[in-house]
Amino acid sequence: MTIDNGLRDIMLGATPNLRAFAISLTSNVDRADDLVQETLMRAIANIHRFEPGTNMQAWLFTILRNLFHSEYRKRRREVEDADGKYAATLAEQPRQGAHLDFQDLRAALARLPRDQREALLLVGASGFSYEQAAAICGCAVGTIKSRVNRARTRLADLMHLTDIDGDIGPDGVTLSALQAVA
Amino acid sequence: VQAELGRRLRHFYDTAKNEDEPVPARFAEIIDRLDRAVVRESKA
Repeated sequence: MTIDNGLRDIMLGATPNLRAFAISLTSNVDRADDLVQETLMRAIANIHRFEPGTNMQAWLFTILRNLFHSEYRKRRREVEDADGKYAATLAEQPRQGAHLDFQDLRAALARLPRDQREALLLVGASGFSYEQAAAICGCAVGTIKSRVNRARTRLADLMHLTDIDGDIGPDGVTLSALQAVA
Repeated sequence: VQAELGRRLRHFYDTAKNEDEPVPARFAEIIDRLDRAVVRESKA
């Protein structure tokens, strides 16, 4: 194999996405960074296995996902809201705009089963096709589609997104101000 | 609902992507080892 300077740039360019995926999977920045570090080290140690011309980002995501799952099997613990503390924060409609939206989404993601969460993140946020996501997860395309659909339905339910009109209108503070002026 | 969910998901992801610094220095250092790994591979 010849030295390919482009390979380094591609790996560097893929790292923010890789990190976002890891943070979304683990809900923990420190743990995510350890995962990304291990992924990059594995990738470099196995660079001879990477096929030039194929998708480096998908290859890195595959390594990270496999590391995440093997770590999970070892530790037998997961950030999936075992004590229900996130559920309590989801009991009400968001009232403070983007910040609460963000917190709700983070909490709701943590409540999804791992396979659904990763499928949704790969397709809905990372920009992979269903086919690429299936290759990364080592399953059929139909399985990925099914997981994404179930994840979307569950997330919408957890985040009370069945009535979008309610989210688009003014929040409680604005309404109070309007009523005070009226 | 799906469009709204997609918007929030991408916003969440973009925020995670830009958390602290997009590519911490330690990752860049690791990636810099790539050239050495490729050279080693080519000599093998």
